[in-house]
Amino acid sequence: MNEAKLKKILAKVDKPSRYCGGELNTPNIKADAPFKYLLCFPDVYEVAMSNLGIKILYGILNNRADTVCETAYAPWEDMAKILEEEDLPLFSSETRRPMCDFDMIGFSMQYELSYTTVLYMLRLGKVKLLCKERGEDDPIVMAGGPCVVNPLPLADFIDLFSIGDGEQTLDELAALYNENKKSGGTRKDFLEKAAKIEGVYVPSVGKKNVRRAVIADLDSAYFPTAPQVPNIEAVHNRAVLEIFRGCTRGCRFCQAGMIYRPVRERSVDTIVRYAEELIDNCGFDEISLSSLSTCDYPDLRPLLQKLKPITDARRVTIALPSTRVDSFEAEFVEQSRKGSLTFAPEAGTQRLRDVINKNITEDDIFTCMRRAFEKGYSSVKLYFMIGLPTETDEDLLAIADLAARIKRLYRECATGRGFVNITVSASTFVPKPFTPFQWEPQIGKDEIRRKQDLLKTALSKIRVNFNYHGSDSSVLEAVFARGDEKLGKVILKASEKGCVFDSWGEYFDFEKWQAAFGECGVKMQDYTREFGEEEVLPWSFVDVGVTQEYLKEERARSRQAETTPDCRGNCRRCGLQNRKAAFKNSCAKHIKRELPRKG
Amino acid sequence: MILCKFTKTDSAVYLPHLDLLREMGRAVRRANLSVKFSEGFNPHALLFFSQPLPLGLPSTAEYFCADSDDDPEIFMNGLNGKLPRGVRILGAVKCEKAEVHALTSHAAYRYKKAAKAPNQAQLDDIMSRITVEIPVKTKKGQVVTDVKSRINSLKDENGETVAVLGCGKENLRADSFGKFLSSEFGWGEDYDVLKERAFINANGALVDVDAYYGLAAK
Repeated sequence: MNEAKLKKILAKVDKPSRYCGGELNTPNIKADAPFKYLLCFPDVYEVAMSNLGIKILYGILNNRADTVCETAYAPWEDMAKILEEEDLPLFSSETRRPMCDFDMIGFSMQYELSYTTVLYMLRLGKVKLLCKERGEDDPIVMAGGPCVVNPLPLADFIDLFSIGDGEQTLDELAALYNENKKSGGTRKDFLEKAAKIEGVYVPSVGKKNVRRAVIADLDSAYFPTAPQVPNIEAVHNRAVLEIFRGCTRGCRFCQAGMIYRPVRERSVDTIVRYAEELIDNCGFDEISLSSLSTCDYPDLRPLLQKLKPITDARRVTIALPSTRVDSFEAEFVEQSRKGSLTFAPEAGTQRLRDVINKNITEDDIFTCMRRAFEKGYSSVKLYFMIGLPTETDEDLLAIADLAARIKRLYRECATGRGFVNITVSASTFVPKPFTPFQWEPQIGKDEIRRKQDLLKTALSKIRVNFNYHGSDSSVLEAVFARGDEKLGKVILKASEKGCVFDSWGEYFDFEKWQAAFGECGVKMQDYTREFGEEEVLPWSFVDVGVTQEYLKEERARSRQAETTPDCRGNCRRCGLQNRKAAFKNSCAKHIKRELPRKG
Repeated sequence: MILCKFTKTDSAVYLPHLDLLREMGRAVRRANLSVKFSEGFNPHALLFFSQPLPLGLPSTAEYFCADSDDDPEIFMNGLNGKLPRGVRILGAVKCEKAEVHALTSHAAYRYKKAAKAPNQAQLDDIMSRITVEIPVKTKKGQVVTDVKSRINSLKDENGETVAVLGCGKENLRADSFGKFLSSEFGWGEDYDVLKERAFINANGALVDVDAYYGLAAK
């Protein structure tokens, strides 16, 4: 597309900076690189620009001499309408190259409700939707990200899945593509060879056992310290620094806690160096030390002691996301701003917290709240889940009771004036593959609504704000999370009916989805039901590292409300310890650490 | 205080005003320059910008002041190279107060339309009219307003029209005026506009901001 044409279009759309490119730190786009890759995110610019994963892959690909990587995000409907009217293909931000002219297109799948947006983008990019329709000259469409640990619902549309850590896989794929092209290999040759790379699943080659790709060492892994700085305010407008990958807590509902094992940490020195580079290169006023459970970083105190003087001098604040109630270190860094505190007890009673293995006690919660209130905080957000296995109404009402007691505590110990502002958010439990709860049923829609109403009434009596999701989208999420190949035609049908941006409340249209399921003869209940432990699970051909035996054992313990301690210093032999020599050592380190305490 | 003149061209024309402010603040941090910060609940760098440009309009004459004791040359060189495509500092000079945005009364815009450029006589004809009524964006929507008093001059320069229009209190948006020129001379939608100078009203005479502050732009 020429610039004059683009200028005309951009004059007509909302937020044209979503499409114009020119972000600071955009690398040199090598026009002559033989392998052209388009990295896509199936959501709008502001959401996409907040994702760390695609920034890592963007850097890795552009660092290769034989590869150029550009980006495209889902255009908002005003832009999509103009592209369709003018018969223009969706294009890359960097060089305005049409999507269909790339060699390979990669989608980052972060949530199930973005599946139809993938089709929307492919359609706008003039790429054939179905793998079987694509030929020698069409781009190869691939997908990665946490959703594709169960790749089956997307298997009709995606030629190649990258399961697990993408750093090494994508690098190998780029090398393979170039090699195959040079030797005159076909598309089929490439896909067959690609299927042999660890972490790669190619539906057309067949369902063989696929092992999740796991990088052995994070400290030496590539990290983008000069990522693109978004033109307009992104959802997360800050520098993101991943301090470790994986989580040792073992919450039984949490997919990320299972599929990112084992824990791999960056060293304090590396993190400090990266933080300085991020400040120099991006200039954000906030830096987020990101991970699944940041306060579990073993050297958090030394890290903050080293980092704080540097960030203070540069007027940068440190954010610690995913702070657990029991490891509240935030006081150390959050001295300047007294914003709102967010905690996720997940369940109202100790019994249910034990069932889900959220190893937090009421004492932890109150100790932490007391400290926060004494420091001057007056706003608290509490996250819970409803519909967890074994949940009763008593468990739900305990959430309201907990909120009421936090309110009373505030009156006792608050130093600030004014009222406390408590917000309870409750999402609906979605059973996810590769978790101990992967067999559990999801409660029905009516039951979701009844439970939400029960909690709503209880919370309104004590004047606590209550946020919750619509039950329909939670059901759909469960269906896709545990879906199989049959869902491909449903996604296609729903997309044809106009479903897109399903994670955006104003776009989500459940009636269209119901019609799509009906017309395809697929029942949602088949995917939200309880799965038998003896059943062959659709996703069982994927080996994420955690064994089915371990998951079964954990499920059995959950039924007894028996907790499993953090696996730091206490290896539970989930399966990862045997996976690579590097993990054997790191997991063994934890086994050894446990011994003296017992003795 | 340092006064900086900068460009907003290329893809940066689509940067909304608030995002440009944020971006300049980040550039100051990237370059590790010393700028004073506000003392408040959320401290921010003390940078003062002139009036926002309409989205999509390029300019080579934007200004901001930074509360800094740095050497202006060092300040400018530090920022250049740390800014997104299309934003470049053209010159910097010490100044007393951050008041350029309040003093600026007019700006010059260059309208380019090959083949259909009006000659000086046609432009003089517009200037000789008693009223020039065009639809202007207001809080109540489009209102047809007499903007004659906000047009300072119209000149033909080698087939391009240079219009000096009011800004600030007596503002006339370059895009609204562009539509007027387009309807007068049949330009359609396809013409280019560039903001290229800003002026301060000094005792009745319009003085270029650069000259007023002794700023040498590169």
